[in-house]
Amino acid sequence: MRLIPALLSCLALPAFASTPTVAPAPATATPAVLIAGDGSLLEFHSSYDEESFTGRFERFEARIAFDPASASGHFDVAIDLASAGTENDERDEVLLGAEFFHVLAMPKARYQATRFSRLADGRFIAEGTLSLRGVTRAVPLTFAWTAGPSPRLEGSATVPRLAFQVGTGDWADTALMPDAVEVRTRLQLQPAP
Amino acid sequence: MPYRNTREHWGHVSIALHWLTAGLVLGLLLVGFLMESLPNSPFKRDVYVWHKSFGLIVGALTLLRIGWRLAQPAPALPTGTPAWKRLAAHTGHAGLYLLLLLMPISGALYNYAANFRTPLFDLTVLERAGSVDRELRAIAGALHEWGAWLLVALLLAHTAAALSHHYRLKDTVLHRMAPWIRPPR
Repeated sequence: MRLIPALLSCLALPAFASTPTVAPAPATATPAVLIAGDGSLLEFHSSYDEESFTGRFERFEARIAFDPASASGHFDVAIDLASAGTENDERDEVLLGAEFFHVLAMPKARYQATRFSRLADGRFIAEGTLSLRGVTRAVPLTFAWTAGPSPRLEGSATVPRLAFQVGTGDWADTALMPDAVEVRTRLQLQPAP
Repeated sequence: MPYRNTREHWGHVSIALHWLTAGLVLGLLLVGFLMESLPNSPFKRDVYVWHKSFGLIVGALTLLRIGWRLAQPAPALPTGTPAWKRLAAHTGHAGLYLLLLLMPISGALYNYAANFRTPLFDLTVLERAGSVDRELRAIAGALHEWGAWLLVALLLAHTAAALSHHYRLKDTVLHRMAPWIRPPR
């Protein structure tokens, strides 16, 4: 435990703060980057004309670094919008088309977060931003973190689709399709290769 | 009030069912052939819901018609009609009844295999399947499309035969089903 004396010496002697013998304190250590493995999923829930449906992104790349002790880290998730499916080919054609995801023009969405806060119930909030269809907007993600050799992240967020122009023209009618889309994710994390 | 059929006349029920079905089927065929090329929009989705709903209604009306037809006599073909024409008429009518059942059945099957709910406008007759069955959808879709073309062919023959009875043979066959058209003299 040479760390504490080293830190103390830093405080006492700021002139020597750059001494190479100072090791980083564990609390502020950068957590390892993890990626989503088998059993991970990214889903969205909405309804059309009062009939609810669930969609799923088959392809997305999550790079997650998170330290629950200090509630710090960084998330970077790239979502392949063309991989969205709702178990209905006709609806999916509309979903991928110009009036919804417009995958031909902007094939990917991205979720990034570097600021986190802790909730009283032990869960966390990622104060992240979502980039979708050329719009970047704050979208907080509430999540539970289960630590372990392969940590699990279970979270949900509410995405206001109209702010991202998802469902334009006549599809913007919230009486047919609500603005709020519930996004849910479960990431079964493993070390990045 | 002759609501029942006799060996000479169609009753009001049969006449009403025939023309109600005729109107709905013409609309369904027209919309059915056009709706696929509509641009994706809430309107297109509504058109499909109407097509499905009216199609189910035609199926129900057809069951009712077949029951009504079997429960009582049907007017006879004019005496002296040659055997081949009798056979053609009976085959054509059987084919029409069959198609009026096959079309809603194949349509509903296609709809179910595509994982849509089965609608009667805002009502749900059958909840969606939960997943897409592409093989069943392809079979049902082919049946529905070929059935539609066969129905068009049979309806053209049916209409041509009715007009031929009226204008060429000058019998009462068309007048019996369309009493507002004067019988030929």
